[in-house]
Amino acid sequence: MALLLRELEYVRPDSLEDAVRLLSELPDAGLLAGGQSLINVLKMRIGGYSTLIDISRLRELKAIEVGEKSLRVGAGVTYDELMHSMEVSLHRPTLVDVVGRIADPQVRNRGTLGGNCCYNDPTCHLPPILTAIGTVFEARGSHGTRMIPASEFFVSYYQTSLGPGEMLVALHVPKLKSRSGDGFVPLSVGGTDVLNIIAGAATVTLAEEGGIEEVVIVVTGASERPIRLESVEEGLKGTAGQPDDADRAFSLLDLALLDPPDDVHASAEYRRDMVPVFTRRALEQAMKNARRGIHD
Amino acid sequence: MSQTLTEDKVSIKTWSGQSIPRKEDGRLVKGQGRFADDIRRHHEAHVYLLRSPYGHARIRAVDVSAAEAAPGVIATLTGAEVHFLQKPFMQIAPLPGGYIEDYCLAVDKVRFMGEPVVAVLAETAEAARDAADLVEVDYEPLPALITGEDALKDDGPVLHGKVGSNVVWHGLYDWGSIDEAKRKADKIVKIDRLHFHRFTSTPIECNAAVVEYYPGSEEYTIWCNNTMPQFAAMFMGPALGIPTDRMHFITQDIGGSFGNKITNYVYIAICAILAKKSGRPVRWTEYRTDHILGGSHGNERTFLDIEVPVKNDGTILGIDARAIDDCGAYPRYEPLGSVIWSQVVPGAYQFRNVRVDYTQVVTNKCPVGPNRGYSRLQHLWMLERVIDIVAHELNLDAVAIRKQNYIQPEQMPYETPNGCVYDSGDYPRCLDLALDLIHYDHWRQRQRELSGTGKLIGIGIGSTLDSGTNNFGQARIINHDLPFSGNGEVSNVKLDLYGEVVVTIGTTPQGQGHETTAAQVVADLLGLHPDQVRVLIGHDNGRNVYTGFSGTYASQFAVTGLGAVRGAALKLKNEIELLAAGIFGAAPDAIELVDGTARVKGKAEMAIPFIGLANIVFANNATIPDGLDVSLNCTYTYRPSFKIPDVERKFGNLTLTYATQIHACVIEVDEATGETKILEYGAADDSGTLIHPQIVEGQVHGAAGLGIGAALYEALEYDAEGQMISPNFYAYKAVTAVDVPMIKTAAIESPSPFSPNGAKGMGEGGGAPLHAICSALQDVMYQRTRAIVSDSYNPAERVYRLLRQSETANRGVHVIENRA
Amino acid sequence: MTEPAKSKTIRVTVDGIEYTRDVEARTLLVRFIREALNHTGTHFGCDTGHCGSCSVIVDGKVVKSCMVLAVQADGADIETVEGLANPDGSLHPIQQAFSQYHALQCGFCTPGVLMAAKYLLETNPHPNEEEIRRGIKGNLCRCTGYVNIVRAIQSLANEEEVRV
Ligand SMILES: Cc1cc2nc3c(=O)[nH]c(=O)nc-3n(C[C@H](O)[C@H](O)[C@H](O)COP(=O)(O)OP(=O)(O)OC[C@H]3O[C@@H](n4cnc5c(N)ncnc54)[C@H](O)[C@@H]3O)c2cc1C
Ligand code: FES
Ligand code: FES
Repeated sequence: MALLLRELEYVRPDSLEDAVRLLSELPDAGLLAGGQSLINVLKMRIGGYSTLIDISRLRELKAIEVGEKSLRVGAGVTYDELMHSMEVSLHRPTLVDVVGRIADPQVRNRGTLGGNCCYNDPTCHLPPILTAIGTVFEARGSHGTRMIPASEFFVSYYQTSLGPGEMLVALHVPKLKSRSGDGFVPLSVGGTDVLNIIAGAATVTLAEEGGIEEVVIVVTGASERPIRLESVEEGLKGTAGQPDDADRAFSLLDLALLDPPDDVHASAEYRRDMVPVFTRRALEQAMKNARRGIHD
Repeated sequence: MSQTLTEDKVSIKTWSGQSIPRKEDGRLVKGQGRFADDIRRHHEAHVYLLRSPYGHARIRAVDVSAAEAAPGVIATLTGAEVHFLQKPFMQIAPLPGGYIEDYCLAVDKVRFMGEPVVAVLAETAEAARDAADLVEVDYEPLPALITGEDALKDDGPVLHGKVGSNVVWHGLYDWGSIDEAKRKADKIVKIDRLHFHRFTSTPIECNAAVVEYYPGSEEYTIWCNNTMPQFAAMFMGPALGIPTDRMHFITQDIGGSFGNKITNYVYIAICAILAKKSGRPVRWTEYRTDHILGGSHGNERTFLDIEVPVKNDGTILGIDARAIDDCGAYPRYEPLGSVIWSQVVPGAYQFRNVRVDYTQVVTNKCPVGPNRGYSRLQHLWMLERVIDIVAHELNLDAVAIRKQNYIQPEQMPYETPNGCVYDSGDYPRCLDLALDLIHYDHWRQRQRELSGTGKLIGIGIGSTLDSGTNNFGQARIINHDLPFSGNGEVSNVKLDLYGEVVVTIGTTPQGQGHETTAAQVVADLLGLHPDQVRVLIGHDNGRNVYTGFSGTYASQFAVTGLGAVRGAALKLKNEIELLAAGIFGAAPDAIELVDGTARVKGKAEMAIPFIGLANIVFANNATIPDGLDVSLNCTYTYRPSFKIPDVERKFGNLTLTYATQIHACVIEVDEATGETKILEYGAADDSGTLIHPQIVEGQVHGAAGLGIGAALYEALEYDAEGQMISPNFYAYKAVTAVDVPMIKTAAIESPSPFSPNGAKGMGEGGGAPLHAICSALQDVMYQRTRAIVSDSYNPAERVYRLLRQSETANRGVHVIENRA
Repeated sequence: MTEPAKSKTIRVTVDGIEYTRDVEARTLLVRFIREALNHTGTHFGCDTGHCGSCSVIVDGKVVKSCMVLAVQADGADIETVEGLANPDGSLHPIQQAFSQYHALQCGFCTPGVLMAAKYLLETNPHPNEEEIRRGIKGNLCRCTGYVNIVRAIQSLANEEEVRV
């Protein structure tokens, strides 16, 4: 590996339309968003593309719009831009927190939401939280636009359900409902938010009397894609969400769901052991945030 | 600091001892430093190295034809050609270890992942890189050898066939009488295995070189960041058939080394061969992945069958152990590490019976090289593990057992069982200072209060010695035939034509502030402000100021470098005084040097500025006072007084000074995950007389930062096939600003009686953070499973496992009552 | 640049000077700055975007120049360490603080750390210790243990009015 890339072609279309067209027309072409993953892939010379379509300046991908039930966040919004978005901090504050923890200021000034989701590295911050909160992905290809729920978007390591010639244009993020809260707790090397070994994400909605009405718990790093701990969710629904409720619910965790990788950062066994720890911490954070919502 | 001289001199007696702003900062903060990869030569060509993807494989065939035909390619170099053009590099080990053949490119076999196999030289770096993709190498993969213990097994692969085994060096160190100590002991604490892991300092600047060959004079000019250039020359000269004076090494600013750049001569040799072959200046840029794969790693060491005879009161009588040191695929600077550890045989402790059966082996991993704390930190770590384990097994206090066993200040200078002389120091006081820094009493109490709440607090101590200024005679303990002994550094201090004071040294600083401290020393002797002293950057043998030992390594500058500077400045001072005395018809001792003039004391009108003196000597020498032989160009070689060690008994004084580093820390461990958080970190340091306290403190911070990283986050790991699984900063997690706490420091000054200025070499730090953090983790374990912290690397997962070790598991520690 | 090409002509301003250069599409910005422009003050220390020694400020945002293609910087205003000091050579307050607090040893990481520090203080003039550490988290320094880097930045953060 070096700072020497293979020869490649570069094009910077002026419009989204052109970008979509080029993507389907050009052979072996790929999108260059923030480049904070793709440039490293190119340095390795084992993957990447021979033509890069630079979408980092496309204004159409930069918009953040507030709809009735959800926010539409352009795929080209950088982490830094998102952190400074009033709309997002009002309607889904957790996203501001989560992207604020990604890597460092330099990476946050370039990396984009779309790139993070499309790269779909198991250590990425966004896939678990976006899955937990029920994000819908808006994809555009030469055949038009389609909407893909998070549960279908993230397919496997570095794979999404985007088809050839298709690009992600926006993320539809549900607005936080009342009495709801989100949580995101990663286990990272050195505890400093790089290289998440696993990450737990959760969102809960409480009933007026404080019991758990709805809950989604997601983990990444424990399998090839973000997975929902549905048995635990079922066990929690209708309970008051007290520690012994959580104990009971987590005892229902379906370990067969988990197929964690073994790598330099952690063994599969350790990852498996950490699943209940970090998902539970995410749940607790979500509960705390939701209760704060009630008291506000 | 104010720049007006007259004001300063009222308030400041000497420049030495003051933390003045560093001279080197001016250029470095402006991006005006000149680092090796900043060198540009007209018509330069670029080399790219194709490296082995295997840990161990036979090279069946190499085909460079497509690469040679690629656009922009000037030349290629293969192992087969190197076999022809180069003799194997000198081996330090005696036979049979000395049979190892080490070439700059792999010949016949690759022995570690990342070993260079083919070099491609092209018009641009891109063209060289592109063409390297076209080289075809046919490998036959061989089973890889990954651990030192496996290297000693009879049925495993042998890396270097001619040697007959994987042993580079074996020796038995035996001082005092360990058997008698075992008889006298109340108990013997046995520890099955301790493992010191592989990591490295990864200086942010990787290796780099530009080599240019002039056929007319058969001279090579080598701009590089090697930190021991004359040592490099000793290896390169015979291997390449180049007289050493024809290798003109030039180093300038160096972006960190920590010892890691001493062995990059292997790569410089590739550039030298290509420079001659192509007739082009050859530029080599190493990238991070190359550096981690094929730069230089720290020594990995396993200690087996450790036996510690102790008295019931905690008095430690000695240590008996086996050590297996893994030096990777080629020894290079090794097996010097196999003796260097013995500079600190008893660490800070009084026990006098030591037996270490020491073996160094090769494995299919990157060759090691000196790395901050080199070879001593492994041993000191083992000693500190022993102290903590003994304390806990015997139910003794970890602070008390240290104080009780420490060498006491009144015993200084102290001769160790193997004849080293600890010059000065006060270990108990340093420990107290370190404990104060971390609020020891408060945390011990908190620990008790929190017991049972699930919050786990651990307190740890790491006591180390930073031995500085090697006696190279210790190399003879490794190989009786090596013609090395002593140590030394050279400096030249001169007036230039217009009277500017110019200092040259043979060293290769990488942030230690040599320009500043040398200027302080010279300013004091010549009556100048440090700003008036120009200190040349780096090592340049064209300046003719060097010894074979010149460089910056092994914590020695404050002694050897400044010793040389002081000697040269004194010589110049003497010449100036003689000259001025001759001019004014005064006695030399009536001359004083003030503000860049020499004047007769008390006679303001009898003064001559340095420019006037320089004029007389260099351009106006018919006016030199009769009979005076002065050059105003003075060179001095500082040589510490060393004797050749007794190689049979492995006995003698191996280092001149011993700085003390005692660290203490408080950690909190998350029981659910095994994550360690450092709550307090304190480092007490005794480096003798301080020339520039801020620089010394900076070294303490740096050593602490690297050590914390190594203890918790940084490991160079290989899988069973010899694939390196941590070849970049994704996987090798170098500590960031959020991983380290504010390191608190305290210092005392116990002047060294043996150095010219009372200073001690320092900077390596002895790996104290590794010891302190392991000690704190052990403190945690004894509140839970009593598991033994037996590895120096403790990422969350390992701590998690230790916290869950079964109470009935074999802990690897046994206490045996001695009934005899 | 609406047609794919292997190389482009780009115009960039680096430390106040405008340059127009042909550059291969594959050239990383760090190599453009160091090799094409010969501004060697900006360093590189890794090949994965981790060390930060290549940090420069592009249109007001600090980025790692090894993680950006030079063609992507077309039209940009780039600040590097070499443009920090005043035209008369006197030091920028951040440079001064780094020297005063001994926040550099070998000085190799320093160009990048200075740019990260400048950006931090521009976007958050009074950072606390935690914010400082997070602000320079993308910059590795192997010499200082970060202690004096943090102190140097703190010394500026505590000033009533930060002159950046
Ligand atoms: C030092 C360092 C540390 C990092 N640490 C973290 C971390 O802790 N957590 C974390 O989450 N990330 C981390 N990252 C990765 C970073 O978040 C990347 O920004 C992210 O993974 C990719 O986003 P990008 O915009 O940079 O995309 P790019 O790198 O430009 O693209 C990534 C991939 O996605 C594709 N793509 C991009 N946009 C689209 C789109 N709109 N439609 C379809 N395909 C698209 C590209 O073609 C490419 O294949 C780190 C990166 C670095 C350099
Ligand atoms: S060289 Fe750019 S981050 Fe390391
Ligand atoms: S000062 Fe050397 S790496 Fe930071």
